[in-house]
Amino acid sequence: MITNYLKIALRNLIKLKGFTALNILGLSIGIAASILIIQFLRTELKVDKHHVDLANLYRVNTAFTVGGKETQTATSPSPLAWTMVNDFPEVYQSTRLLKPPGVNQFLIKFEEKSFFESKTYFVDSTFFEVMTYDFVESSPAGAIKEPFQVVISSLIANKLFGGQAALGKSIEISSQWGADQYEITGVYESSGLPSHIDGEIYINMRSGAIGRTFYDLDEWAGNNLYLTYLKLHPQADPSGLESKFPDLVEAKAGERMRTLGFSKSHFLEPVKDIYLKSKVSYQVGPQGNQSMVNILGIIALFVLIIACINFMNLATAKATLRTKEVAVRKVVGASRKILSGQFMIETILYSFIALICSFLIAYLVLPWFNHLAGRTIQLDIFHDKSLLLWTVAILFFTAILAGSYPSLYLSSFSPLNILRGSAGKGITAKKIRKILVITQFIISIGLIQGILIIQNQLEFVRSKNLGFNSEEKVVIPLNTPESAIKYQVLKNDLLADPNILFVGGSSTVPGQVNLNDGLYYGEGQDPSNNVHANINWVDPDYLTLMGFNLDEGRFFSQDRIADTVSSTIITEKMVASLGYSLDDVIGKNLYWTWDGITRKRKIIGVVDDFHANSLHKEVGNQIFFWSTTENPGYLVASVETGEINNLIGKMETTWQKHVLSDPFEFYFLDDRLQSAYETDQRMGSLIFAFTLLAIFISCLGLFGLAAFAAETRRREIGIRKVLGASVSGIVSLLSKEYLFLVILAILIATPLAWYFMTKWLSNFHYHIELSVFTFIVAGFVGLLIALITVGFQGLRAAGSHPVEAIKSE
Amino acid sequence: MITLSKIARYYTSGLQKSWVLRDMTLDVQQGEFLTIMGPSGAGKSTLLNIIGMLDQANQGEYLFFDEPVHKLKEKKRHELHKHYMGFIFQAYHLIDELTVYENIETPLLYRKIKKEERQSRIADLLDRFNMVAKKNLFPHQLSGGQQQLVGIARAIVSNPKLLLADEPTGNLHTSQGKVIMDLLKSLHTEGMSIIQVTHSEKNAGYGTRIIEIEDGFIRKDMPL
Ligand SMILES: Nc1ncnc2c1ncn2[C@@H]1O[C@H](COP(=O)(O)OP(=O)(O)OP(=O)(O)O)[C@@H](O)[C@H]1O
Ligand SMILES: [Mg+2]
Repeated sequence: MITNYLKIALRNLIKLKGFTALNILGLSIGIAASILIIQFLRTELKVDKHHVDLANLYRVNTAFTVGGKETQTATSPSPLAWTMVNDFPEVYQSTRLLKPPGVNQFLIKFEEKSFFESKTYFVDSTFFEVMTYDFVESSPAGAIKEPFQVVISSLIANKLFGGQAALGKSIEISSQWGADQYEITGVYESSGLPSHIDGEIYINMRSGAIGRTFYDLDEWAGNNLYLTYLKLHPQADPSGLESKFPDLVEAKAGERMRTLGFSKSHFLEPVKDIYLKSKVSYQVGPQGNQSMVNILGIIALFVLIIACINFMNLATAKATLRTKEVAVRKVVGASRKILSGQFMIETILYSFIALICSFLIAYLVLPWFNHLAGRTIQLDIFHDKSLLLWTVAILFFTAILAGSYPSLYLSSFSPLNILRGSAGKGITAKKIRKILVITQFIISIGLIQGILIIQNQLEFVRSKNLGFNSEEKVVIPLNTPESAIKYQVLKNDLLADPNILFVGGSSTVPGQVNLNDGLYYGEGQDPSNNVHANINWVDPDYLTLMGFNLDEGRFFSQDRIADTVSSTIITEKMVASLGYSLDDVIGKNLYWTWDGITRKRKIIGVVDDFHANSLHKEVGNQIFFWSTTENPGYLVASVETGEINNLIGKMETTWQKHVLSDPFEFYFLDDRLQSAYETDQRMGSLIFAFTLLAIFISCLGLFGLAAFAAETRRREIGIRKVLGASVSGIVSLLSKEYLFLVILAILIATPLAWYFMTKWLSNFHYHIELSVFTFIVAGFVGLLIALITVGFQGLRAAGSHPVEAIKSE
Repeated sequence: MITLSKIARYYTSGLQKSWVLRDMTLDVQQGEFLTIMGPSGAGKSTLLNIIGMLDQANQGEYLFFDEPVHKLKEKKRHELHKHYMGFIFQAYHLIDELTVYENIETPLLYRKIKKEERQSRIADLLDRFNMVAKKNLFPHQLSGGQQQLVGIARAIVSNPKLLLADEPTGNLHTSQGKVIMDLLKSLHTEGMSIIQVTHSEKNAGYGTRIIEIEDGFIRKDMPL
């Protein structure tokens, strides 16, 4: 029986080659797209899911309230971890992770090899008991129990030792805190068990100068530098535990926080949610993006639905050619159930062919997809069991969605009609086809509207005035004391090159996390009513070369040596926060109190607000101090980019002449700032790509339908032509009904897209306003695409010879 | 075998009923070769389809081997149709995408007959109709007469009790038509009950009884 079905399915497939190809192509592209997206989503959802006791793992986050404003961070104070284990019975185990402040990179050395590694963290000895890692050398138990022990990833092990065993080897790790020798006591597999913590090197926290300063730092109010992870007892109630935090904070830090002028509270965040959902600052690794996961998931479903709709449309349209077969089969004894089964099997056959094609397509575009998504997704159908399961699920989903209606529709034909020699009617089918076409266009037009808005916002982000000039700036991080003390020499030597216009130094540059901050107040103001601001320690050249725009007063001046100790420059927003106005602020003093000592500096200048962070965040208060004693963290050079590679080469030579210990590293400021929008850009390009796909598939279907309509109306068109209808008249005759469908789709799609895009834009503190114009443009594009597709068929039909068409009755 | 009493069939167009059959009362015994005649549009095909259970009467009773067809559920009626009826059409109505062999095989597939049994039955028929060499050809590769032979083979391969033929020779030349009629005749002698619709007196001569219908009534009913 089945062989009989397959035979007739294959013969039909061959008989209607073009139609079938259209049908299968649309379905294949749809399936390929969903396979890729599903793989992407699976890798995103896998993060942190491997930890043993995942349900009981939490991170203690902190919410600070300064001047009525709350900020949340992933970090907390040092004693929290051990206090919780001791005082709260719910807590089974705790562990801390520290990214030492001010250290952006560590220099790793083994024999002749050396490189910088920023993903280097100091952790408690319990770290590998709380977090699960896949050890390839040694085991988690006892891996970093002692000071000067270190666990590295297989990536680092390979970099240092090639294929050789790493265990027991001794490496040097250094930063501005000094250099020490460490024994490797464990290696874990880099790929495989993704975590929200991006570390490659984990050092026992009791090691070296950092260990002496930070390991048992007994400070409750400030120095919230540690990521504290808790493993709770299985029966513990996390919200019950959370409710004990306020008393603890009050007892340990209440007094001190009041003198410092801020308050804070702690709360738990489940480890399983961190990667996709956490919104707090100071994470230790790139964040996933729940909305990207959601949006892509929806798009995958959309593309698949569009492809299925195509299939249904083309299949029901094609069905008119099979009324006779259905009727005959019924007469010779087929029941309706058996017939719908037959057509279902046909759809499964088609889906299966499409599935194979879709894998070919998916493999072909995989590199490109990985490039867009910024991931290394694999498609290993033979070893990846869940992928296989997903594939089978997709097969059934498409077969059922795409096949059910056509098979019910086909099997409903009454044999009487063909016995009387009249063809099937298909009024209902036409109506349903219309609904399906509208659905496709709602999705496509909604997606077009979405990408237009995303592209506009990304363009806005690129072109927004940031309050400084990020172009043609080379940033060289000065990570170690050896390089930092060479700042002045490097500066002088670099300036000798005519292509290097200015060189400046600063403790921080826009785009870097700035942990240097303080609480300030003005003359005669209440010290407890203070203003939070980030501090930039700079040399005078930095201010001019970055192009900060001076609104009032002056910059630091090399001639006035007093500026180094008694002056400050602040931003406009800081002026407002202090309750001053631009006219009266110059000459006022800025006060701060730390540990009972009050200091002051005179405000000599005001600059425009600038975006030290991405446009996702609101600009904060910023103040500048002239730094002479402190070595800058960054050297910034303003350069002519004409022969940039050459110039970088020269900079490297200069560097190597002076800094013997460290390798040369640099980046372009504008590139780095753009990287804050990487997720947004990736999402933009992914949505863009899949939107194009969705539209393409919709067009395939529409093209097929229009071809079909034109075919079935050949005779009518022929007669109309004989009666004198013009080509344009016939094209519009065939296009008219689609015009209406597309307009209806625009009306439905617009509010949906409006709603979702407003949500997306709210991720940015600075964003474009939605304009009706965008929506009109998108609708118009959709309309145009539809009309071109349909019009093409209309033209073809109108161009065919009328006499032949009439004869072909 | 068949008892029709007061069978009526009408179509509604708008508010108006147009009657095709009114008050058809008819008995057909097993082994008969009945011919239905009448002018075009008289309702011959409609009557045949009602007897073949492809269509249903609006009024009246239809007993088929004592089963009250007019009262049966769709499923049961389908079962009766499947087990007792074979159909032959004027336009042959073979499935274009299937070969001769496969066309004949189709009814057997719906009756879940084993492969060997299918092969032997089809081989017998092909042999009898001299079509063995043509079994792998598609319908469009055959002449009209040959197509109708396949149509007959398909109708009888499942051993129906009743063969219903709606102008089986309507599309054929006289000589081809004769072959078909001879074949029906010999099937009848072998015991098959046959009801045919025809416009041709000559073809009617092959049967055992003729009824003529007009305006929805049986005008004449005469044994031969
Ligand atoms: N589905 C239908 N809707 C409306 N009227 C119908 C329908 N089917 C048949 N009729 C009408 O019923 C009447 C009888 O049709 P039928 O096909 O039974 O005639 P016939 O005797 O077989 O004619 P012919 O010799 O031309 O085959 C015709 O007038 C036809 O128009
Ligand atoms: Mg008829």
